[in-house]
Amino acid sequence: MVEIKVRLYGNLVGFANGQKEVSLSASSVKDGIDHLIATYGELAGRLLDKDGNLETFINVLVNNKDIRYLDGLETEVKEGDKLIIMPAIGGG
Amino acid sequence: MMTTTLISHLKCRECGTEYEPIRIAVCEKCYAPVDVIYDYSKMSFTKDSFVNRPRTIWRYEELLPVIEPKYRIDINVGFTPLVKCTNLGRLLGLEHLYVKNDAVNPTYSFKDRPAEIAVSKALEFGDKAVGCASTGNLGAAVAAHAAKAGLPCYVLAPVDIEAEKIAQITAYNAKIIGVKGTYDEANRLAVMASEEFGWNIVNITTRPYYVEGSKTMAFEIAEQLDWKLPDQIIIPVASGALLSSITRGFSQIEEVGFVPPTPVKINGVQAEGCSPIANAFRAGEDIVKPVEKPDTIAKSIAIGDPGDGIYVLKYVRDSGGIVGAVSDEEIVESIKLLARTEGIFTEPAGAVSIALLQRMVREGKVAKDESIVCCVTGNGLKTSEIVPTEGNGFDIEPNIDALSALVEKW
Ligand SMILES: Cc1ncc(COP(=O)(O)O)c(C=O)c1O
Ligand SMILES: [Zn+2]
Repeated sequence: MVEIKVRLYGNLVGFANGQKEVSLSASSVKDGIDHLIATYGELAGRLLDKDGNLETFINVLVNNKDIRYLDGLETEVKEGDKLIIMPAIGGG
Repeated sequence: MMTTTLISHLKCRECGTEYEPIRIAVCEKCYAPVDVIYDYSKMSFTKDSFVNRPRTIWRYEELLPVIEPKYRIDINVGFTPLVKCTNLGRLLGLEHLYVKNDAVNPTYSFKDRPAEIAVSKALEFGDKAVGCASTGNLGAAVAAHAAKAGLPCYVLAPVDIEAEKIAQITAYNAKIIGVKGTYDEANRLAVMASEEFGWNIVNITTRPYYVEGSKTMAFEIAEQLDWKLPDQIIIPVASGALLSSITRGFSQIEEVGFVPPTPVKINGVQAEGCSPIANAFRAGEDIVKPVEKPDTIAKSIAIGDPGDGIYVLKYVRDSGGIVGAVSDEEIVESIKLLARTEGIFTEPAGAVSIALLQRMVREGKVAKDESIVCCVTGNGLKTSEIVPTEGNGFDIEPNIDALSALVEKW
């Protein structure tokens, strides 16, 4: 387990007690999200679906890179990594 | 002036949660897109009402989401020509081929439609600054409307967009922020900026209203075909917002009873170098795997992670159409073909529809007597380096002998 920072966007902040950024320890993205949900229960149904997959309209980045280009939720994290969790708002 | 819009409320496309018509980007519960819903029971206009209306998108004011007419920004957008392509049609063996020429909007792309609605809506919401994430065309459209509205404008675009687009955006006095990355990275930064600085990034912050503007293209096509829908339509696709809006426009115009229920085949087209939706279509999948590094000359439609991708798949499949991908070579050839046969000069992102049309003809996917509309969404002068100028080879001294010598060679 390493220490990482998680930055939330959109109304996700409200479901984390108004915290925009939280520090937590994790070994992977999935692990980080699980810890986040353990602390802020209201985030539960918003980030992961009932099978434990990332919700369709949520994007997760590790050091600004979308985890869909990495190993998805299984992506490992290193000490000091920055996770961003945000609603996926289509542009174009 | 009285309120004319029939807007009733907003509704989440996935979970159905309803909202008042507030300033909202996506569903607060599931983050899916939110659609504007209208109350047709209050409708008091008929097809005949259109005779004296302005030849702009505001002609369809009842089905647009701006509440107070005083907030309308109007730079003469829409009611672009629906050109009957007799020459190209003859060449391809099609009797009812049309081009919806949106290259001739005020800022030379279809993006004036969503921008005009979005900037009007921004004024209505009391926003102090607008902006967008853009591959160039939306940037110009929002910048022009912001200029007219007297609002500051911030455009986030990949640094490598065409010089013509940068010049245009700069002329409208917007701040253009060149992001050293892809469109998707610029879009993500724009989401953060809207939160950080309170800017109304129109294709994000007020997306439900923004996408309503493009519906007018469907209304116009119906009206220009004398209140009929075509058998098929081909639409360039990046995020899929335009295709989704045109599909919604066709169903709304049916719902209000202006056209008979018609099964229009909706076809979408992408460039091979950035074709996540076409890939999913071909593979029979419902989810869209994003493309990390788009690589195509059709920069306007180089969006690797399309927000409306899953809906494009659904609408196209439901209608019996296809999502195709065409090569850069086919695109360049199609730019020339359309220019040489119909006198319409489009950018690569508009030519993709002509490229797919040719392929559909070869594959027997369009019948000789079917009516088919190709959406040409942007202007060729935006990307002038694409078609090499042959002029230099023909430079001559200013005398008739030199000219004669040249003409003889032809
Ligand atoms: C000329 C042109 N055509 C088509 C599109 C596709 O639009 P959408 O993102 O709505 O699919 C764009 C988008 O920027 C464009 O500039
Ligand atoms: Zn929802």
